[in-house]
This record gives sequence, structure tokens and C-alpha cells, in this order.
Amino acid sequence: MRTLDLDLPLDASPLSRFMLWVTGTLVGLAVLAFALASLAQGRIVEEARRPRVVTVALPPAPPGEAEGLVGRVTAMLEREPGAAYAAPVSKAEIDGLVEPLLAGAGAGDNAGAGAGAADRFPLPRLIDVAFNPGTAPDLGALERRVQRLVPGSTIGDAGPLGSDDGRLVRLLRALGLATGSVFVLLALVAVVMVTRMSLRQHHETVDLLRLMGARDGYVARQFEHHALLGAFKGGLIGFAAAMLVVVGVVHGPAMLGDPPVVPVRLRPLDWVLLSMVPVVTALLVTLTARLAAVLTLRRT
Amino acid sequence: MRYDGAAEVLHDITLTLKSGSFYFLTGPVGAGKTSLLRLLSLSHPAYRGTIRVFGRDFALVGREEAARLRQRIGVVFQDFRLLEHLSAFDNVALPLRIAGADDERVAASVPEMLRWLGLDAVMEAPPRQLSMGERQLVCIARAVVTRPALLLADEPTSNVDPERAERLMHLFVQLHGLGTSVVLSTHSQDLPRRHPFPGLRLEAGRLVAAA
Repeated sequence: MRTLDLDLPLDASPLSRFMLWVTGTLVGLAVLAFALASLAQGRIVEEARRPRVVTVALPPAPPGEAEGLVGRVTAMLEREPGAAYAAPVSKAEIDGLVEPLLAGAGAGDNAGAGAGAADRFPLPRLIDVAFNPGTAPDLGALERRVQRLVPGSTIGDAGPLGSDDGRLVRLLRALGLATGSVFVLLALVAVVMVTRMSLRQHHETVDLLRLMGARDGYVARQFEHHALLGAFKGGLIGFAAAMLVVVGVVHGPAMLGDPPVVPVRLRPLDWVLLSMVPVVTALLVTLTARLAAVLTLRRT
Repeated sequence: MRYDGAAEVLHDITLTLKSGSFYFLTGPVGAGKTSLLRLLSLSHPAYRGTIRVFGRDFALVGREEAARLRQRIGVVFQDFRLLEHLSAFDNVALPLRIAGADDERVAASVPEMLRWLGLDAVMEAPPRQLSMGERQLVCIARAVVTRPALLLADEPTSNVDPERAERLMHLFVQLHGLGTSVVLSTHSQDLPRRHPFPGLRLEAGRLVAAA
């Protein structure tokens, strides 16, 4: 007695083996692409948890006016929505910042070339403003407001989210999601093609089943069951292969004792979501096989 | 009736089969016996005219109802058409499963049918391990396991010796006795002579005699 409800000899077909490897390959590639998206998303989330610090630069002002302007701007910045604090950068810090520049320019060969630079040179005054995690300040509007108080002021954004790195990370996330989805979509397209070819290949058996009173749904169920098993098998193979690569990329450098060029880390949720890729793909493949079979049968 | 735009193979046939009856469908090879059985088994649409089966015009029924009507018809094919990857048991179980029978009913009906036909020893064997006679019996078992209202048998005795032919006839007569309408096609003139059932005679696609 049989244990599986398959009247069509789908397992014996070369198309069946083809589908197994196609599913495995595409699921593996999809997992890799989604892993890339997860890593990028992890970076974005990590950055979003940090307070965002921007630096307001006020143009040089006469010594008598500078402190007053710094105080007014600092007070205004502290009232900004989402601002955690606003603090002028001390003269000592400014001296430290310009020291390498002055030493390189021949202003002095000793280590104290920058000492007193803030008083000796017409340098801009800097104010650090930290915004709470999760707030998205409109830096353009803020800059305009500061410029109304002190014309010529600028805002420098050193936060990764506003930088080229941030854009690159977002691009990688979008790319990972898009290519992962494309690989899953390709698996579905392959299922449609294989189902149609299988129906043609087994048309005599399908005709026989119909002659016995089989409804389209009964015949389609054969393809559905076969696709489910094949997609699970292929998906698990692809998933296992992709996981080896992901684990190697994430944990490999640490295991070899080399610090990674870019620290990457997958959260527990990412591992769960990645392990869902073969499951969801198998379910989509199953549904697609059934729909493809029913629609093809209705035309015959 | 015509196949894919080819010339008509059956012409001007008007025929009513009575419920619970037994008919011989006779005629020379190529007369259109198989084509008429195809029409009756609802496997091929009529090019023109009307086929009414169990009181329903086949051209007007939907796919679901067509499937239900086909489930009430058993067909014995001349070439058996067994599924080679399934055992004799599963071949016979097919129509039951298609009709939605549960495993319990399948487990009860199929062995009973195979035992009745003397096939209990080969229940789990695939068709390739069966003799021609056994294959034919499996085909018959598959056709009658659902107790169809109408049984269509296409030349079931054409490839067997006279003794087996007589045994098969006995089987069909028994089924008829259980209330199944039977249409049995044969090019033999001997069988209709020995069994007193009405005959339908086809020649060159035309019904020339209906008793």
C-alpha cells in the first residue's frame, strides 16, 4: 500500500531532480541575500540606538562677543525637541583638534604647537548637540535657525546615518531584500514551468484520472504534495549551504583571531527569520504548484 | 464524432441505453466501437448532437458535475492503462480515492474485489510483474470497485483464449446481476451468440442494428 497520495509518477521524473536542485540553489542564494540585508539592518538599528551628535560651528567673532554668542546659541540648542544636551567644545579641545594641522604647517615642531590656538587664531567656536536615540532632527531647519542668530554658522553631521556609510548600509539592505525576493520569485517561476512541463509529460495519466472522475483539484493536489516535499528537501540543502557561508562570514574572523574589517553581527531574530526562508519558500512553492496545475488543467 | 478536426468517425447515431441492461456492441475492426465507448464514457465531447448521461446533457454540465458523472461510469480499457508505478492494490484503489473514499473503505473494498477476482496473491505487485490475464483482471477490478452504474468494456476478450473469455463473460454477467448496466464491445460473433443479450451493431461509423 502506498503511503503518499501520488497517482502521478512525479518522483521518477528528471524534472523532479531538476526542481530539487533549482529550489536548493535559489533558497541558498535567497538566504545569503537576506542575511546581507539582516546584517545591514543590524548596523542601522545599532546606530539608531546611539545618541546622534552634531556639531554647530559659529564663525570667528571678536573676543568680546564670542562668549555671548556661544551662550545664546547653546541655550537655543538645548531647547530643541529631542536634544539631550548642548555643550560648547572647550578651548582645550579646539587646541587639540588644530594641533596636528599647525604642526604639519610648520607652526612648531613640538607637541604643544596647538596650545592657545583658540585664542591666537580666528577659529570658529564649536558646540556639540546630542539628540536622543530615535529622534530625527531636521538639520537644515536647525541650521537656518542658528544662522538667524549667528550668520555664517554651519552644522556638521558626523553621524553614520547621515553619512555616505549610512547610505551604503541602507543600499546594502535594500539590495539584499530585493535580490532575496528575486531569488524566491525565480523559484516560483521555475515551479510554474516545471508544473506545466510535468502536466504535458504525464497527460495520459492525467486523462485517465479525469476519466475516473478526478476533479482538477485532485490532480493539482498531486503536484502540490510533490512540490512541498521537493521544496522542503531542496530548501534545507540550500539553507544549510548558505548557513555555512553566513556563519563563516560572521564568526570566521573571530575564530581565526583576526578582527573583522567591518564588525558584523546577526541578532537572534535574524537567525529565526533566516531559518524561515526555506519554510516560507516551500509554502509559496506549494501554493504556486497547485495554482499552476489548476490553471493549466482548466485550459485543457 | 471526430478527432481533432479529422473526418467524422461516427454519424447519425441515436441510441438509448436502458438502466440495468446489458448490451453487446459489435462490429468489425474500425467500425467505431471504441469511439462510441469514448463518447459514452464522457472522455470525448460530441462534435455535434447531444449526449445525455444519467438524464443530464453532457454539453451543459460544469466541470464538477462532469467529474461526478464520470465517477458513476467504469471503463475497462482494451490496453488496460494501469499505472506502472503503483501496485495492483493501488491501481484498484484509484477510483475509490478519487471519489473521496476514506482509508477504511479502501482497505475493506479493494482486497475484497481482488479476492473475488482471484488476485489476492498479487495485491502488492506492480503491473509489470503480472501476467496479461492478471493485468486485465486488475483493470476490470479498477472499473467496478466503485460499483458504477454503467460499465463500459472495450474488447475485454480480444486478447485472451476462449476459456478465459468465457470466465470474463461470467464476471460481467455477475456484475450485471448486481444492477450495473454493461456495454461490452467485441468483434467476436461467438460471444453474442452464446449470451442472450441485446446487441448494437456498428459498421463504418453507423449504427446498423439495435435490438
